[in-house]
Amino acid sequence: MAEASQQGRRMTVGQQQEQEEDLPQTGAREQDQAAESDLDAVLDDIETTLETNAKEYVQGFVQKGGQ
Amino acid sequence: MSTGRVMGTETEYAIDDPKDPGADPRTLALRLVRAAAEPDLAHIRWDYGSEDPVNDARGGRLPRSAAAPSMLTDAPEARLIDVAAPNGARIYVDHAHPEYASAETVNAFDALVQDRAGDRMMAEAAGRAGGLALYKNNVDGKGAAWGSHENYLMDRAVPFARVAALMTIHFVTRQIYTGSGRVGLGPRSEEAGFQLSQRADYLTSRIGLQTTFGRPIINTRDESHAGPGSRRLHVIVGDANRLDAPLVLKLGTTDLLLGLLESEGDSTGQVDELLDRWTLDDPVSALHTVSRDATLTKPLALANGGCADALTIQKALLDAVRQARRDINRSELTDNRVLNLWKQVLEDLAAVRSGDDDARLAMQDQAGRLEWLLKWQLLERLRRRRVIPDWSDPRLAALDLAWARVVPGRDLPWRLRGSVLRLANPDQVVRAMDRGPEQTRAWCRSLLLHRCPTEVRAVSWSRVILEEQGPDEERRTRIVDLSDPLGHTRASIRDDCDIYC
Repeated sequence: MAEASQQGRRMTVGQQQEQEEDLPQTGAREQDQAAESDLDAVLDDIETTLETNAKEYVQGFVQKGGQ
Repeated sequence: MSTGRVMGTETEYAIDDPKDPGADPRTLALRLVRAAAEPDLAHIRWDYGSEDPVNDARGGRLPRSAAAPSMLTDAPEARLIDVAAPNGARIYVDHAHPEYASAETVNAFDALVQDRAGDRMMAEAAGRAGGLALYKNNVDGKGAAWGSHENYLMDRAVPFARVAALMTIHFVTRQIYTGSGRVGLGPRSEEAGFQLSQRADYLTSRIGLQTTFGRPIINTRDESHAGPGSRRLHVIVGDANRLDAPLVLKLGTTDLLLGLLESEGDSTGQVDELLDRWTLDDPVSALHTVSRDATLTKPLALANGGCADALTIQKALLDAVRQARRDINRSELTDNRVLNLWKQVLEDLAAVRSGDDDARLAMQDQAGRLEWLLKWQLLERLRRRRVIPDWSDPRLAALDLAWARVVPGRDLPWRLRGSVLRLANPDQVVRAMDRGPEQTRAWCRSLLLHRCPTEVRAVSWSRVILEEQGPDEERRTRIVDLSDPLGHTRASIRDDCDIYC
């Protein structure tokens, strides 16, 4: 990712697309979840993270005011 | 033939450093914006000559001595860092946020493409700046809010009071389809719950020049960045949108209603009727009511003594625009696409209104167009799976935050791309990271940055300043006047051959 982004605006459309396709997919899905909706698949992926550090994550997100 | 309305977006992002929790956001914003600069464009300054933050659209000027320091965005101490992006956009630090101000476009769909290009450019810069985490939202739930602004160029001949009156009705009620959803009620999430809009709780006045405190529904900053016949309407009420449909609608419906005001003569009676029937008794309170009403049924008190809900008022605004266009027999393709989408989401909302939670959870098509509904579906599914009875549970706020995280090709909106309405062509988005929109002056700005990067000294929206070698070796300054937003476009490139190096 870092290497690709350093190419900045010289990156061609083709390279960009390739890069996107190479990125990891939404993680391992159990076969019996195949019929579930996209939303459930997303939740499957992030649920564990949410269970372990949600409180810390939310408390740590502190910004300053803008416009 | 209509050339379309000049418009664009300004997005302030949130950032944090996963490796250094609690790092000063302003320092991180500086790091990100520095990383956003192309090496051969890094020397270029922003030209503040045409900035005028104290000029008030209601008439008059606020004395600079009376302005709050945060309003003087052109003051030397406010000028932290500016980056001229190769696509004609401006990237800078606004207060404590990295901001992407998109290049000028001529319709909502093109503006969406520029906005999405900005997300990718800023995400790449965040990566180069040492793996900063970038978020596209508006609130931290701890009192801070930041903006996702819209800009529209319009005819200055329309009295500003009429613009403010009609836009207030629109901005309060459009939240039902432009809202991106928020976990938490109140500026500091004092109460648990879900509401339609990120931004509503931070808007506390009807109209004003200020944007960082007592934020108004109608912002009166009058700085056209164009000729004297134009006004730029600077809109600060909107949410940051991750879905395409709400962003296109936010821009497209506002554009069409401004068109209704501009065609007065033809439409004076129609605008009068809208104002007579739907002017809100207390717009600020109505804004908060609409955002907190997922039932979509709460009546809003009207100035004429009656009451109406937001969906009814939006239907009336849509009908007025359609009627006006029938009357003058206008039918531009992009306008028709906006009108069809506007009609569609109002139908979606009617279905949502009549459904209970189980029915709403099953509404896939509607959720592909309504960001707050999609976010609510994710949250509600999580609540049911993990048996989370209380909306104050941090897992829900964490999911809201995760939705805002911008990681092209990996983030939550990208993972749900098969389920949502996508209105920006990915190839066009990639191209828009590099080239300016063809139908505005941004094309010329962008081309100058590509063709003569070393000569360009400074840029602003309305001019480019170059320093060139004269015939007898002396340096001379050349100013390219871009005060006409629809001048020096790609179509005029043959006439412009003396502009480019």
